[in-house]
Order: sequence, then structure tokens, then C-alpha cells
Amino acid sequence: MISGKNISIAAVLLILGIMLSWQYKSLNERKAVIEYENKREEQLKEELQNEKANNELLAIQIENLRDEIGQYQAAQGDIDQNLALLNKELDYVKMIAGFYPVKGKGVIVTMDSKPSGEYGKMTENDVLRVINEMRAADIQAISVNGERLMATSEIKEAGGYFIINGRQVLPPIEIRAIADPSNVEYALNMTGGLLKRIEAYVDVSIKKSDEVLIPAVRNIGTVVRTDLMIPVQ
Amino acid sequence: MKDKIYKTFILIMFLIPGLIIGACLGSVTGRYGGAEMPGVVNPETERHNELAELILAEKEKNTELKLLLKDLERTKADIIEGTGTGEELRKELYNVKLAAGFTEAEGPGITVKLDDADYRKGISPGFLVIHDSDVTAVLNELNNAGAQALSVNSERIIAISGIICTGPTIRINRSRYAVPYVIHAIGEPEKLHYLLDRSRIVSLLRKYGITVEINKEKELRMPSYRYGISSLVTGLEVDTN
Repeated sequence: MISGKNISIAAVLLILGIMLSWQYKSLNERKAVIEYENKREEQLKEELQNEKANNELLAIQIENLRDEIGQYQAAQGDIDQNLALLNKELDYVKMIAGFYPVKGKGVIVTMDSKPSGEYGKMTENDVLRVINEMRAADIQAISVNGERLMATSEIKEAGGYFIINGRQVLPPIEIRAIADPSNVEYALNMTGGLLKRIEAYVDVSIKKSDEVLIPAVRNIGTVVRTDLMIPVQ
Repeated sequence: MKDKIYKTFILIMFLIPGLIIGACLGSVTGRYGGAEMPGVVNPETERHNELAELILAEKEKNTELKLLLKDLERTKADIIEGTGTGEELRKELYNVKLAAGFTEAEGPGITVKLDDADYRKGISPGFLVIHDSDVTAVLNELNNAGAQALSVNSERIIAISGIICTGPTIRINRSRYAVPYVIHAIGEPEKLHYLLDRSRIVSLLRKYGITVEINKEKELRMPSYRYGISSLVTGLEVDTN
């Protein structure tokens, strides 16, 4: 009889436990929904669009990676073929990383303070803003006065000249970018755009070109430093 | 007979608190849970919920795709490693990817949080919100202080990343973000902190009441550029001259 009692208690406790965990689970799910409760519908639509775009990008990456895996698989056992594939990948990554000089269609933007100097001088901020505007116009490589710009390149003013990648650079500033030239021109010249705001004191010229040359990063050891970083596997 | 009554008694004694706890938890869920009147559905709330559910579904898919991507990356690495050739090449590839922002990285550094100032009468709102140029100016100061890797709101900054205003949000790489902006920088924490804290841009932002919180970090995790590099660059060729 004792064991019968135990069984019924056990059963009751089990049911109670299941109920609790079920409630907890649905509470957690709801929490995720409640997170969106205070957002406006437009915000939600935008977020949904963002998430969808993210997933599309991921799908493309996955497809590309599958292709690459296919190539490496096909090359299995063939050492030469394998090295060729690795070399190809390394070359590509070095090219976008800025380790090779590159050429292509693009623009050359020149800027300097207006000679009169009546409304002030060109500052590092003006240069930074033009570069930023160009970067946002889907460029593929960029340099300033012969210095390839990396993610960690600085542009600092120092009394009449600028320091870029640790090197002194004198105005005029010449920015070269490989990109769809009309994209860049449009981004800079837009009504109410950047150039309109700085034209009072900065002269800017935009030249489109079918072949813009962009140098490799000058000194990989000093400009690109990674000694404080370790990659995460 | 007595035992049976006893058992029933115990059953009820446990069931009642169970039901009460269940009901309590149910009502905690608020508007979506027990508190809403059954049968009364606000169409606006319903559409809202629908959107929220769709976002959650996309997010779930996102997690799955990311896992799959990681899996495939491992598969690729395994195949290449399995061949046993090109060890030098593999090492170089890894280093270049680390420098360019195409791998996750860890190291010391600082975090910088930027947030809009509160609205105040008599000051144009333009001075109280953070602009794209403010974020680029802060990144520039960090680079000047020797930053080795940068990210803004989990977007790794690479050589061709632009940060641009799109209405009340800014676009970084290919996604849009609203305030607060959280910048991570790997580098020497002391140096990054010292130079940024005393920079002109930061004193200017602080003057208008914009939040600039700088914290030194012993260990930071830097995301990799998350859009894949295979389709990043077209119409670009190596200059062999």
C-alpha cells in the first residue's frame, strides 16, 4: 500500500513538473514576442526586411562556399591542383585586403583649400567626410596621395599637412577609388550633398577614369599591425 | 477504502497549487497571455503579432544558416588540411584574413558607447543627435591611437566600409542601425582611452550632452566581416606592372 501511495504522489509531482516547465517555455516564447510589442509597425517592417536581406546574403555565401568545397573535393589527391586553388584564393583575398596594387574603372577626386582662404581652410574632417561618402558608394579600393587606405588608416591634420598611414602628406589631397564612377559622382554631388556644404572653402574636382591605379599598402609591417590580435577559431 | 480517500486527497492537494501556479505564470505573459479577453482580437495587435512572428522566424532561419555556414567552413578547412599540402599558403591566407577583417579576432582594447543627447529647448536637434561624420571621426581617432581592428554595432569595419546617414539611422556596411552606437577597438587600451578621451571630437560631442562612454577591456571579441568576400569585388584586377 505504501508503494501505491508513493506512485500516486510521484505521478502528481510529475504532472506538476510538466505543467511548470510547459508554462515556463511558453513564457519564454512570449518574451520574445513582447520584445516587439513596443515597437511601431514601420520599425517592425524594416526589421523584417533587414532580417530577410541578412538571410539572403547568408544563402549566397553558403552557395559560394559549396562551390569552393566542390572544387577542393574535385582536386583531392591532385597536389598541383590543390595548390593552384589555394593560390587563387590567397591572391583574391590579398587583392581586396590591399596587399596588391590594383587597377580598374573609377574616379580621382582632388581637393584643396580655396586660395582666398576667406571662409576657412580644408580640415581633416572635410577629407574624412569625402572619403566616407565615397566608401559608402560601393567602392572596391581606395587610396589618398599614394597611401592605400585600410580599415585602420588614420587621417590626421598636423599644421598645414596631413598624416596618413603614419606618413606626412601635403595638400592638395588626391583620392583615388575604383568604383562605378557615376555612383561616386552622384553621391558627392547630390543636391544638399557634401560638396555643396564645403564648396565655400574647399575646391573639389571629380575626374572619371577608365583606368585608375591604386597602390598596395606601403609597408605591411607598420601600417597593418595584428600583434595584439589572435584569430578566433 | 481509507487509503483511497487519502490518495484522492493528496491528488487534489497537489493539483490545486499546480493549477494556481500555472495560471499565475500564464497571466504574467501579459497582453498576449491570460489578460486579454477571449474572443476580442484587435486587428492592429494581430498584425503586429504577425510581423513579430515573421521576424522571429527569420531570426531562427538566420541561426540555422549561420550554423550551416560554420559547418561548411569547417568542412572546407578539413578538406584543405587533409591534403597536407600548402601549409605556408594556408598560414599566409590566415594572416591576410586576420589583417583584413575576414576572421573573428580577440584581443585587448576599448569599447565606446555613443548615444544621442536628450532634447533641450533652444538647441537645434541637429546638435543633439549623432551623425555619420561623428562616428567616422571617432574611428579616425582610434586609428590614430593605433587601433588594429574596429567594429560598430557588430559590423566589422573593413577598408571599404562606409558609414552613412539614412534618415534617423546610419548604414554600416550593408545594414542599418539606430542609436546607441557601440564601437569596439582592439589595440592598447591605455593609449586608445587616453587619446580618444582627450580628442576634439569627443569634447565637442560631450559639450552638447551626447553620451560618450569609454571603457578599457582586457579581452574583446571582434566579429568578422559578415557579408562574405567571394562577391565583394568585381571589375578589379591586380596591376602587374
